[in-house]
Amino acid sequence: MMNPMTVRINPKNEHDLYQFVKSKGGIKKAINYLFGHYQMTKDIQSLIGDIVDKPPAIKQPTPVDDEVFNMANNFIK
Amino acid sequence: MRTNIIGCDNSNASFKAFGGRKVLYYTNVLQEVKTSNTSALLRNKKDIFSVDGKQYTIGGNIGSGGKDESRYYSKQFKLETQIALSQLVVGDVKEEFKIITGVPANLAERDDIIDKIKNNLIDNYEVTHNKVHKRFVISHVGVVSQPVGTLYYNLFDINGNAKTNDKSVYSKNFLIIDIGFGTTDLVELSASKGLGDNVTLTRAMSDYVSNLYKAIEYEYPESRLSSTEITPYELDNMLIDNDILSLPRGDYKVGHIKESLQQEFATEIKSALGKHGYNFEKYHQIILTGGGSIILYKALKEVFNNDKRVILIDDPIMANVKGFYTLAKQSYRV
Repeated sequence: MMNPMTVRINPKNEHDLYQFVKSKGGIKKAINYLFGHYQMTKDIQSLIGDIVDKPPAIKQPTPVDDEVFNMANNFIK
Repeated sequence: MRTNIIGCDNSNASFKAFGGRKVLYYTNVLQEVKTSNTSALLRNKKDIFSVDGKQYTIGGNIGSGGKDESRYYSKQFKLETQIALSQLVVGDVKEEFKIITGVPANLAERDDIIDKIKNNLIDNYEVTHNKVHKRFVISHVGVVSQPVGTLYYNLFDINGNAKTNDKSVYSKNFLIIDIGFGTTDLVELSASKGLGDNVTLTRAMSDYVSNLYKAIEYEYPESRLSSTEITPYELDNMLIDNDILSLPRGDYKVGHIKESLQQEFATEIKSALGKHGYNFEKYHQIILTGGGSIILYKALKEVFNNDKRVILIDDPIMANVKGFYTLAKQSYRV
């Protein structure tokens, strides 16, 4: 079985990925960079819960009072 | 059985329905198709509807459409409604529909017509929609004047709750100008007092689009507009947000033609109101609605001297059916 820590990148077919790894200074640094992102974002759902108001539950209709009920039925034939 | 509350409007130009999460809006054209074409149509992701051994597709270019009142209780009207509502049935389990539908203001007080509409629509239905056999019953039909939908959409949210706590607004008079494809309704309405004066003009957007077509052909004969196979309706759609008409033979400036026809139509609406004795001062608001109101809003605002009471309803195309839905929820207390 192939060693999961062995990585081969084809500079031609995987040009974008190759450039990214190169810009980060090597595979380990690139993985660390991505890992940092992962750490920051994995808890984002629970974090935004504290700072963003969640949408209210779907508003339930209030009971229609008799005045509104009668108005509606005067229009409907 | 699952019950659906639906506001719907089967008009000359389009079929619209609103049921909270369920929405339909498409050009109201039914085309019968041959059984041998079914596989090709399905491959092209066309919806196929089978009713009583015949097959249909929906949508396409708007035809002339009948302006006759008898269309509201015709077999065709029933078939159009049947095919539309079948799209809202989720699976092969039978569902129930309680619907509120609209008619032009001049028909809303005609008990004979309303009875015919109800008798025509209340029934059990079966439609095979893209190989799914759907069954439903229309158990209740309520009929209202189309502009009542706009008034209700203006006063209540879609759950039926009042948008304002000020109940005095219920007794105020509103003038609704509903500019549709086949008719223009000028209707005085109050939520508590009901329908006041109403006039239905047969001049409507179908005339505007055909006049626009003719005027462009007249001013730019070299454009050979009629040989492009663009219909008047498509032409209007192309020019809603655009003053340049791009055709294979070149680009043509048509802003001034549009503006002058819109001005002419708006002036005609205002003079029809004057001729029929409407007194603008008594209205709390003058609400513009219907697909045509989007095109005519600017011109109408001008002919009303930029009066602040003249407003364009939010979502003019769906405002009526959303209002019907609200009415249905209030009336059925659901």
